[in-house]
Amino acid sequence: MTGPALFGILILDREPLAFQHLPGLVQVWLQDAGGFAAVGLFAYLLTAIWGTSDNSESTKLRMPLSSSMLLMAVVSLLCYAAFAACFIAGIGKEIQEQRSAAIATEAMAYVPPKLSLRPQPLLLAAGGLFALLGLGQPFVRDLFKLRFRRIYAIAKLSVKEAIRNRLFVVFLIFMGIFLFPVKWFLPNNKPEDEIRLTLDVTAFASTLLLLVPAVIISAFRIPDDIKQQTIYTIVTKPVERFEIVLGRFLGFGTLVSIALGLMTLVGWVYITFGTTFDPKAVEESQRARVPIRGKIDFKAKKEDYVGVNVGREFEYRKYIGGSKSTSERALWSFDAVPASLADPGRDSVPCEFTFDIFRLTKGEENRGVDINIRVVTWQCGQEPPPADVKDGLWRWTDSAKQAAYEAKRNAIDEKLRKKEVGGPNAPPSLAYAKPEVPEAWKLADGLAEEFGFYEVGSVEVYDYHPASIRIPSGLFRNARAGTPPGGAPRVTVYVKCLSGGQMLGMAQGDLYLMDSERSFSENYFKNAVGLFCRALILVGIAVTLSTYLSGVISLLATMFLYISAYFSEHLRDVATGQSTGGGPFESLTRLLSASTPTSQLDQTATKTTIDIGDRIFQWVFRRYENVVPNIDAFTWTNYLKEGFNINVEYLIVNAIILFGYLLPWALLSYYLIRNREVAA
Amino acid sequence: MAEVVVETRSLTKIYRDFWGRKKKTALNALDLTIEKGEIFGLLGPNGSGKTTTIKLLLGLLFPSGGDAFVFGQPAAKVEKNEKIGYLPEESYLYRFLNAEETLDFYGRLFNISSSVREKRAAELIDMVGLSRDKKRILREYSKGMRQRIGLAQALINDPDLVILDEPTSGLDPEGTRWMKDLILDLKKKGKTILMCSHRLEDVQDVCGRIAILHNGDLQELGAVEKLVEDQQRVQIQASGLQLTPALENDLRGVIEKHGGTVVDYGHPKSTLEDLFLRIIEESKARPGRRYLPPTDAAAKS
Ligand SMILES: Nc1ncnc2c1ncn2[C@@H]1O[C@H](COP(=O)(O)OP(=O)(O)OP(=O)(O)O)[C@@H](O)[C@H]1O
Ligand SMILES: [Mg+2]
Repeated sequence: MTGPALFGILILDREPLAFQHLPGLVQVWLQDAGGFAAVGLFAYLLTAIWGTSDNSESTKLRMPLSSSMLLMAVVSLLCYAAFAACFIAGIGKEIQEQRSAAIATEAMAYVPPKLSLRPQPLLLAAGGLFALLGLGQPFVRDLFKLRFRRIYAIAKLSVKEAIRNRLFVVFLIFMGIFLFPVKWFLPNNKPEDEIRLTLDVTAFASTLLLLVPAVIISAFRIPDDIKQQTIYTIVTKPVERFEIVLGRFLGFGTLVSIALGLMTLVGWVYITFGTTFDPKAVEESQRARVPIRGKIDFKAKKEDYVGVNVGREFEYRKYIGGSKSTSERALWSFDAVPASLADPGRDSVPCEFTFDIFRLTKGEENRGVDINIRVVTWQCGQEPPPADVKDGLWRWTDSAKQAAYEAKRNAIDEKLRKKEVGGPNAPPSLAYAKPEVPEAWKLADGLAEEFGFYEVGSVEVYDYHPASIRIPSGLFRNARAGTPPGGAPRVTVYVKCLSGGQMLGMAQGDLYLMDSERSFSENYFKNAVGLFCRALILVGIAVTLSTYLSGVISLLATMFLYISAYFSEHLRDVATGQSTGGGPFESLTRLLSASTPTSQLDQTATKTTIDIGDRIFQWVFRRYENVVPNIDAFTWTNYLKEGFNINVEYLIVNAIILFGYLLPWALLSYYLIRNREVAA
Repeated sequence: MAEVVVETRSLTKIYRDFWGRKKKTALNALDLTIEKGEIFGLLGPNGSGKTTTIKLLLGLLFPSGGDAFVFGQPAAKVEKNEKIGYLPEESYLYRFLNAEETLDFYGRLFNISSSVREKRAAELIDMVGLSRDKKRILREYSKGMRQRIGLAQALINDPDLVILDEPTSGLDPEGTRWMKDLILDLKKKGKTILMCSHRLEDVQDVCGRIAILHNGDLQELGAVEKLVEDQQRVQIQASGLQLTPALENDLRGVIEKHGGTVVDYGHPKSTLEDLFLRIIEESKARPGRRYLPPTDAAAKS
């Protein structure tokens, strides 16, 4: 949902997953992974109890059955039964809402799940938790038998093999593509996009270069060991079977890190020293901004104002109308203000923004749209003009304070005009004060600190071009003092569009305050972490599947899973039944009866059957979707190329998600390899 | 009674395809016990279930019925492997490693200290005669060399039970001799050895007891000497004589005087081969298990 190909802004079509999302993610993980574990646990128990007729010691060892496993299965079953009862009775639902309702209403393609304390989601998570505990019990018990010495030996073997078999040499040769400037391949581009393009191309190349060999070696190694019977000499040593899986995973993980490390280093050297980029590109991309994001809201005189839809871009952006006398505002509220913004050593805090312009009239040639920005703290409340007033100006809730402010400001302006203050380069009025002229800026800063108010009368913006203003840091000192009543935001930024006949489109990610900047190089390496996670996902899936399937099948299955992740948005639509025209059964009926996708089908028995068919289909599809890795969550190239810092927090969350995703696969591989007759 | 090292209780293996349909009964209710310090030979024609038995003992295959124990522990138990050495039918080793690395790799899988591991690896390479080739990768090795490094790999943990699947295959006569001496040497050190082979003379030379399998059924089990001994016939060996008609007449006279008849005379020859061929012939004529445990056999007669 990124609309037209845009540059200059970070299009946040998904919120980055951060610590705050962990509770919700854990709950959903318990529901999903736990659901699969429950199926696995019951299947396992059934085979262990009835499936194997002989009760030889070896079989008992291989398929251990303990009372605690049975207990967990029973508890889990009870939870699911309670869930089913609630579901039928319609008590405490919102399973659905928790995950996907947001997709329908909000503009973002992916909204992280929220923790829900309603009975149904809780029961479902509890059932999953107990199933995981039951199924994981032999696994955890065996974890204590693992020895790093053996895992290390197997990992080292994997690395040696890849190097001796010259896989690595081939890899190095292909890495040569990094050394050619992207300009050669993709001429005729805007100079400011040069770095972006380079990053895009290197990201694509390294993804391909890393993932394809990684998945190939991972998928074939264990099946080859079995086929060439080299595994005989390993499993007849005191090696836990799962150590083979872990050792391989670790070995391939090491290979991936070496390869990725090399690629990242070469890429970084190239970008930093290799060529000279257009200075415009450097200014836009070669940085690592640390944005502080707020919550967007739309307000006007009319109480129920929520912004305007112009029928573009899947409602990603909402619009406000432009005119001198409009009371429509887009506002961003910031609940917390980091101390660094209020640092006395800091003169200003940049506020960057990039808006979409929707022209109702043609407007002036080569002229942007004028906007007005007002930044206020909680100590300087604002309210829309009364209904009968036409000027559209928002007022201070404390009008006496407003008067005091205006008086003081006018007095300073007067002095500035007379050059009594502000030094030799003093601007004609406070409106023109800049941090570059500290004497004058100090006056603006003092005013902002005293009243918690700062306004930029007019800024010209262009369609999708980043622009910025600088806010005196005094304002943030004002914001940080005291405690706002009733959880009011500490800082709010109001945006008004001044140009008549133009509409200004905005979304949450379009405006942010900037904390201090971090280094681009650091960001470049952080970006690699995402790719590393993705590679590990592939290796994990491939190794797991290969404990049971042949090499080719494992390879194909892994690729299929991974590639379907790129269609996850579409998958999700199908899975949640949101594609227009309904699920496959309804679509088929529509096709056969030649009706249009949006017309209502008659509510008949056939329709009900179709509905149920589609529901079942969607259920199955959702299960499939659960297995597909959330690749998006591990892709940071957009952040890098738009010059935004990749927070360490995001990377830690990445690692947690990676662990959560790989854990069920590990469990699966544990059971598969234990029960694999390697010599059959 | 000596310590039991290997025990199988009506061990059965049926190979099945993916859908669980039966393909082949490779081993049928095998009962065996092997005691500490024995050299035990598994004999049988191709496809009789020797390798299957070994794989079951090692946990490479799971039994379809019955049970297998090694050192009193179920075959599926990993810990028992600490004391087992295994030489596969063919040495399936990692061909991109050299001899030293191979032993280092396998040594790390055991719970032995690095100093012992290094010392033992050097000794074993020396023992199997690969000192000059220890830096070459296994891809370049000949079959016999691979068999040697395979043996070294099986002995890296100084095992108490050595399982050898066709240890002499691929070795030249000199190598065969060397291997047999080595096996006898291991026995002297108190190790238990389970081996299977086609080469009857090898088996006869080294094995104490043997089991003969055919089509997955146990046909004969017992000490080699006992099995090849024919109660109906007497063998006299003498030296310093030439076989002349006069000697023959005299001998015939003596034997007839005692109520016997001369069946054949000449120079002694291997009889395990006779036994083997006879048993296989019989088994073909009457399929099924032939061997009865001594107690059952006594009850029957
Ligand atoms: N993986 C398998 N799947 C199906 N049948 C098998 C499999 N492995 C062995 N068999 C069959 O089981 C029987 C016993 O095989 P096994 O390898 O134990 O024989 P063997 O006595 O070792 O023979 P050889 O002397 O040739 O090594 C054979 O008929 C063989 O075809
Ligand atoms: Mg064999």
